This record gives sequence, structure tokens and C-alpha cells, in this order.
Amino acid sequence: MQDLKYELKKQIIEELNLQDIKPEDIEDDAPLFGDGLGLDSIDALELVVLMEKYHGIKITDETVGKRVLSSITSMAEYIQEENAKSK
Amino acid sequence: MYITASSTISHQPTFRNKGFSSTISALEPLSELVTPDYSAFIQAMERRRMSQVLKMAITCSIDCLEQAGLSQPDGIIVGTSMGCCVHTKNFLDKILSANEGLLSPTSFIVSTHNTIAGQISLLLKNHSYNMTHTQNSLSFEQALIDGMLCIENGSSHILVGGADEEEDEIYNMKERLNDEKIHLTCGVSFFILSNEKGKQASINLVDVGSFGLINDFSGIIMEFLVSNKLSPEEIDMVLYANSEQEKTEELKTLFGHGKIFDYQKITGTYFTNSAFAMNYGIDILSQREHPVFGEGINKVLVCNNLIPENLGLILLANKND
Repeated sequence: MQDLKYELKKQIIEELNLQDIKPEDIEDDAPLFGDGLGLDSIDALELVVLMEKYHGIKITDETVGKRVLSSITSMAEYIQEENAKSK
Repeated sequence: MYITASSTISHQPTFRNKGFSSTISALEPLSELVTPDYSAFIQAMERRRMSQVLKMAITCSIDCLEQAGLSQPDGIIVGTSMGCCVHTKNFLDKILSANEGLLSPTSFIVSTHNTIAGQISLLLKNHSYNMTHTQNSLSFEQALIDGMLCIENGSSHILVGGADEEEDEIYNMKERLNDEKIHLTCGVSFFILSNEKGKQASINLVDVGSFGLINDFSGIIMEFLVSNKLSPEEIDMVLYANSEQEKTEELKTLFGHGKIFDYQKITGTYFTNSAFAMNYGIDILSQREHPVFGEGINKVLVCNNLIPENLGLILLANKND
């Protein structure tokens, strides 16, 4: 789980071009939007693309998207859940 | 009408370097952009989605507003031939690599021509007139004409710029200009047009002309001068970019050999390099006694014939003339 979270942080930094931010700077449970990392609505779309590009997971439901993309932990848990379902 | 601020980022040390026309020389082959530290002008979270041309345009805009002592312009007008073409190429590449599947939105959002004027507006939180002109090698002249019309219709201060970035791969610029030896560069220049003289030195923007499908190069220039009640003898300097040697010979015949200067030697080639030439002219006019071109330069004509069928003319004068 920790490895997956670290990979997710690296992918987010690269895809969103978060300059001057290292994986260690992103807390697992901090909100990605608003007061936390400060991402915006365009970034939300980028995260949907990221989930499909790196993890083969499509997020098509807005409610699921809001819940899953709220923090690094929620993203990692969802990836694990979806991977378990497909096995 | 006055130009109360000007700012250029280019392959020359032009940014925040008043008097640069005295010190810069012809571009060396393989020259690179001379850029300021963008972090002093744009926050990291805002900068991360911006291409080079966007960062240049926003930095020049902020510099112009500071020079003119303004917080907001009454309009933002940009002339760009190729727009944000680097991101356009990225977007097209991603369509291919994603097999037309789910695409990253950022490349699309920042790849349109009006991204430049739009992003300046968003960062300044400016809700006034916002316009982008794309008219090939006359894009900047069209933007200037729009800016002049805004001032004539009652606006006080208009931010006008010319911006293009380097991306020859998809536009085959060398082929279109029929010259494999040209020095492709890029650059961004912004200006504040005002209805009143600025606190600092300001220059008169006397007139701008934009002509397509031309067939009488000298005749159009003469008509332009006559409409401004001027003769060629009254023009002290002509900054030109010519597509053909015979046009240069025509300029020599009209104005005299010693008065004309090929601005592409210093700007390099890009579709809105006449904006850089205009700032070069402003810098020359701002120095009553120019160390390179001498004294007594009060009227400068920028003559943009980068593409054979297009002719742009910009007439500048010292404010007391």
C-alpha cells in the first residue's frame, strides 16, 4: 500500500507538473483539492485521465470521482479494490 | 495617441533594459531566448500549465502595467500568428498516442490562439474587452489597429501585444517563407496604448496600416505617408523586414540608402517580429541622441513585408513632433 501511495504521488507530480513539490511533501490523508494540495477542477480531469492511463481504471461516475479523488489514501484504496475485483 | 509602456522578451537582452537598441547587435546563429526569472512574476501553481509563450506574454504584460502605473487596462488585445502552437502539437500527439481515447484536458485548454489574451485576463482578473487577432504576418498590426480604435472610442489604456513561439515542425515556416537559411526565433512584445501622455517618456503612435494582396509596394507606402501629410524625406528611419531583395531596393530609392535598417538581423524571424521592431523603434526614439544611429531621429516607420503579399506599416514619432 505504501509503495502504491508513493507511486501515485510521483505520477500526480509529473502529470500535473507540480513544480517544487516532492512526493514527501504530499500527506497521505490531506485533501488534494482546496486547502490541501490546492488542485482545481482541471486537475480533477487530469486525475481521471491518470487513473485510466497508469492503473487501467475508468471513473465515469461523478459521485465516485469525488470520493476517490479526495486524497492519496482514497485513490490507493480504490485502486486496490478495483484490482481485487478483477482477479 | 501615446505608447506609455513597452516590454519585450526575445532572443536579445531586451527585457527591463531601456536603451537596449544601443547595445544589442546582430543575432548569432543558434541564439536562445533571454528570459527573466518567471517566478518573480507568476506563482508556481499558475506557471505549471503555461507554455513558454504564455509565461513571456504574462510577464511582459505585468511589466507594462507597472511601467504605466496601472492596475488594470481597459482592454487586452493580442496578435499572434501561430498561437500556442507547442501545446497544439502536444495535444495532437496525445490524440495519436491515446488512440483517440481519454485525453488530458490541459493541452487542449492552453493550445488555442486566444489562450494568451485569456490567461492574461484571468491572472489580472480583468473583465474588459478581450480580443485575439490572427492574420499571419499582419497579426500584430491588426491588434494595434484594434487598440487604436478602442482608444478613439473612449478607452483610456489598452494593453496590446504580439506573441509567437518557435515550432517549425508543424508550420513549415522556412518553406512558406521560401528560405531555408532564415534564423527562426520567437518573441513577445507588449505595449500600453493611452489617450494621454505617461509620466515617463512616451512616444506617439501616429498611424498603422495593414495591407493584404499587395501589388504596388512603393505606392502603398507613399499613400500611407501622404495620408499622414508626410513625405519620405521627413521619415528619419525605416525599420524593415523584406521578403524580396527588389523591395529593399525600392525602399532605398524612396528613403535613401542610409535610412533603412533590416530589423530581422536583430529580431530573427517569427510572424509577429514587427512588434519587437516597434519596441526597437520606441527605444531609438526615446534617446534623442542615439549612440548608434546618431541624433535627430524623430520619426520611425516600421515596414513589415515578411510575406510577399502582406505589408504592415507602423508610424512612430517623438511626442513633441
